[in-house]
Formats: sequence, C-alpha cells, structure tokens
Amino acid sequence: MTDLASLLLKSAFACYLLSASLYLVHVTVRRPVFWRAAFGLVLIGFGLHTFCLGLRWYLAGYLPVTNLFSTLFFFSWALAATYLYFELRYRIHASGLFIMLLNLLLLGTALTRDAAPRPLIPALDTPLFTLHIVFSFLGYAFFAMAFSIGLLYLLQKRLYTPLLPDLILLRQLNEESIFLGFCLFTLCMIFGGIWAYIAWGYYFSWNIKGLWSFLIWLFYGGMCHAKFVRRWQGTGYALLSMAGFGIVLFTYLGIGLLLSSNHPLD
Amino acid sequence: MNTRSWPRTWWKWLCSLKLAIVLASLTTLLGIGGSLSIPFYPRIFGSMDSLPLGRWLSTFGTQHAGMTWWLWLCCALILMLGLNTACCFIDWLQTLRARWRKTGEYLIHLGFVLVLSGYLWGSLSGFRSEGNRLAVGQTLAIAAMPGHYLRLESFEPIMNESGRPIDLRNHLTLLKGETPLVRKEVRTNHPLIWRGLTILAASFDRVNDGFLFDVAGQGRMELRNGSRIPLPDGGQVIIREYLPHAVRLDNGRIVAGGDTPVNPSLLCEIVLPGHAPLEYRYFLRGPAPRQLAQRGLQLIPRAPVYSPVSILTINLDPGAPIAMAGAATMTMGVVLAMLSFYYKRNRGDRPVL
Repeated sequence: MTDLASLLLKSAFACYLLSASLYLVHVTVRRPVFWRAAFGLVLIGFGLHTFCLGLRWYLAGYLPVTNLFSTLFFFSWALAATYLYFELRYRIHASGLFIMLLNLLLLGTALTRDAAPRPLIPALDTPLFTLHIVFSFLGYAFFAMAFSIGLLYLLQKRLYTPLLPDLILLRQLNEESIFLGFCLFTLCMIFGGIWAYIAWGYYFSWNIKGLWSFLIWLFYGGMCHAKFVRRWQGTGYALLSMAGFGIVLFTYLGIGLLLSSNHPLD
Repeated sequence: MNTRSWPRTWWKWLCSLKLAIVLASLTTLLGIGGSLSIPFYPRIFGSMDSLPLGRWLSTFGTQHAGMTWWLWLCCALILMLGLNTACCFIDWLQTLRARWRKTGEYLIHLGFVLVLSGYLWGSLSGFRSEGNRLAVGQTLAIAAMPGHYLRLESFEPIMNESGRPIDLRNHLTLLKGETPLVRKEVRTNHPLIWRGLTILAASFDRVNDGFLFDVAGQGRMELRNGSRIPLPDGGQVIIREYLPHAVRLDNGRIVAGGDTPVNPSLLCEIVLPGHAPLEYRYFLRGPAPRQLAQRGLQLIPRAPVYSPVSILTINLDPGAPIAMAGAATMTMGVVLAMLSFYYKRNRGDRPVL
C-alpha cells in the first residue's frame, strides 16, 4: 500500500477513535457540542476511509476485498456507512456507540496486518464478485447495527434511562436494520449465486461457508416475518437480532479463520 | 371439525406466517448443528459439489445415513418451507387488489419458490462431470446428452509474466451429430451455456503427443499422429500412432503404458507408389529401423513434444434457467420492497399488529 493510503487509513482510525471518545463524553455530560463534534469527526473519518478505499481500488485495479486485512477494512467502512445512515436519518448519536467501537476494533486489527493487495485470481475478476462482496458486507453491517440496537433495547427496557432513545424508536430501528440487512444480503446471495454459476457451473455450493450464508439468509428471512407476530415483537426481536449477529460473526470470521472453506481469510 | 371447513383450515395453515417462522428456525438450527460436521468428514461431504444433490443423497447420503440424517431433514424442511411460501404467494394473489403494496415482498416469495423449484429439478435430473480432457481437434461425446458432442477448435492458456495462468481460451463447438449448435469462446467466468448445459474452462495440462526429430536434409520436424515425411523416391512415411510409453505384452502386442515419455515409440507406415503399404514400429530408444535407412531417411530423435490439453467441466442443470428467473424475480422484489419501505416510512406506516 502506498504511504498516502496508509496515512489516510491511520487518520481515519484517529478520527473514529476521537469520535467514539466524544460520544462517551456525550453519554455522561449530554451536551450537544460533544455529539456534534463526534459526528463531524465520524464524517471526516468516513471521508478519509472512503478516499483510502477508492485509492486502494484504483491502485489494485479491482475492489480489494480478498484477504483478512481488506475484509476487515471494508467491513469497517460498511459499519461507518451504516452508522452515518442511522445518524443522519434518526439522530441516534451515542446509541451507535457500539457500532463505532466495533468499527474501531476491526480497523485497529486491520492496521496490524499486511495491507499489500495480492494478485487477483482469475475467477474473482468479474463485476459479480464486486457486487457480491459489497452487498455482503453492507448486509453484515446492518445486522451488526441490529445487534447494537437490540442490546440497547434490552438495556432501555431495564433502565428506562433518558440517555437512550425510547423503546418504540429502538424497535423501529431494529426492524429497519433487519429489513435492510436482509434485502442487501439477498442481493449478495443472488450475485454470488450467478457468479458461482458462471465460474463453477453451479449456483449453490455445499461448502460450509455457502451453507452458513444460506442459513443467515433464512434466519433473517424468518425475522422479517417474526416482526408481525406480537409475541416476538420488542424483547424477542432484540434477542433474535443478537443471536443472528452471532451467526454472522461465525460465518465471517469463524469459518474463514478456523475451518477450511472456499472463502478463506489469510 | 366441520368437513366443509377443513380444506380452508389446511390452506390457512399452509399459508401461515407462523409455519414459515417455525420451518425457517428449525432449518437454521438443524443446519448450524449438522453443517459443523462438513469440514471434519471430507470423505463423505467433500464430493457434494461434484454431484447433483439427488445423486449425492442417493449414494453418499444413504451410505452414511448416520452422518447425513440432518441434511435429509433440512431438505425436507426446506421443501415444506417452499410449499408454505408458494401457498402464501397464491393467497396473496387472491387478495391482490387490497394488498398490492406488498408486491415487492411477494416477488421475493415467488423468486424463492422459483429458485427452489429450479434447484430441485436440477438436483433430480442434473449431471456434473469434471476433468474432461480435450486436445485441439478432438471431439468428446457428452454422456448426459446422447447425440451431442463437444469439439475443441483451438486452445490457448494465457500466462502472466511469472508463468501463472490467468486465463484459458477455448474455442468450442457444441454439435448435435454433425450439426453445429453453438460456437463460443469459453474462458474463465465465460462458460458456454446452452439449455441448462454449462461448459467451463476448469484447467489445463500438457500432454506428450509427439517427438522432435532431426531429419537429414529436411531440418527439424515434430512427428505426431498423422504426420507425414516425404521420401526421396516419391513415397512417404505416415505416423499412424505415437505412444509416449510403449509396453510389449506377453502375446507381443504393443499397448500404451502411460503418458510420460519413458519408452516412446512410433507406428510408421511406408507408402510407396506401386507397392503394398509397409507397417513397422520404431522404438526411439533403440536404433532407427533399417527400412527407413534403405529409403534414404535418417531420423535422429531429440526431445518429446508437448501440447496443451484443455480440462473442461461439463454440467447439465435443466433447472438453472428457472432458478435464474427466480433470481431476477427476487432482485425485482428486493428493489420494490425497499422502495415501498421508504414510501411507507415517509407516510408513518409501521407494521404493528
């Protein structure tokens, strides 16, 4: 990676770190100036992150999301984008703190790894691969947001604190995260299936990664239905969101790092 | 139960949202538990992508029922989920005028049913074949489609500076009998697709199919099956067969013993005007046959000659076009569902029951 890309990445990390700190201050002090500053820093960090992503894309000649560093980097970018979406739409402020902390964790881990893009294997050299991974990580990011909001919902139900949004808004945000995550993940599965068909001659692989991706899709598809069942609304939905993200994390990191699959992370 | 109302009760149950949730949850839980055995038993599960699911289940699935029971159950649950989704979609169609705003969501339902139907059809009547080796000019019969053949017109593996293959360019013709049906350049991510048949460039190899000779007075010459060498007296030598490793059996017959040039040999035929053709075998490790020297032809073997061979994957999935139609329907459904979601959110609608 060029020095410029490295500098951009470290600057984005610093912005996110400062922003998360300011959000933490905002949680305790509750002054608008802190969340405004924090939000401004997220915007700057996201701008630098996006520029770095664009630069890496330009230098590599393809969207570089093929190894552990680049997937952590891209997942972190998708999380920041998802946070901004909810912040701009609902002004969730510090309620998105978990997402920012997760973002920092991913980016911090990425910073310690080799950032050099590897030569692209011929089968990955197709726009279908790009669409597959973009929608995949955007879906993951919305599921991570649903986890975060589910956790806050359970906290708010117990604490009834004015520091957090009310339960109705949290429930609405949770449902929106799941719905959008499911839609984006559906597109990921469709583009992945078409790509697999032209690359290997079948559109569904019985590799454990493919199977777990289908299970994620099925699980969140079930959740999109569960929101209509009174018993599962609210607390049940929050718990399901958290369980679902566990499956997502295992599919992304657990299978990629611990088991042999056709989506290795190294 | 009232006998008139039971079909309606059954229909309501089949369309039920709760049934969908139960089936999706059970499949997820079962899949999560069962699939963890996949990486640990490659001898059982390693061939799942090499065979259509129906054939795999009827062979490996029944032989190792103790390890694959969860998969049978998952398949049954998914089929039930497909039925539930189809009934739900039909139910929606019956009330379309009142529920047209849910078109996006129900297109996703229809897409899922189509993908599942396509997969089921392909699993039951599909065919997968890997490692089909084809040299330029050769024709291969497609086992799954009697009367259909594949001919490799040309083949070129493309390498980068470090010698790593980056593409495999095959010019293939699909024939029915002698009639060409499709001609296409097949390379990585660009298969030949024809009515559920998919031909993919999988890999390549090099095969020793001839030998390089110094021919006195004629320079260097590569001799393979079918090569001809003109003779000074007007006749010619035709190479009928090249064997990289010729093995002599007890009965004196010469057969191919492998692809590595251990004991290369040529079956030559000398054709002279006014004479009966004369056939003899030339073992390149031994001296040149006197029949050649008598006719003024001096051959000095130099090195084996290798030609690239394309390795193709041939899959037949008659359900693939239906599954692709399902994918397109689902994509439309997702786009419409998202548009409808934002429209409804802007109006303040929420799905509270």
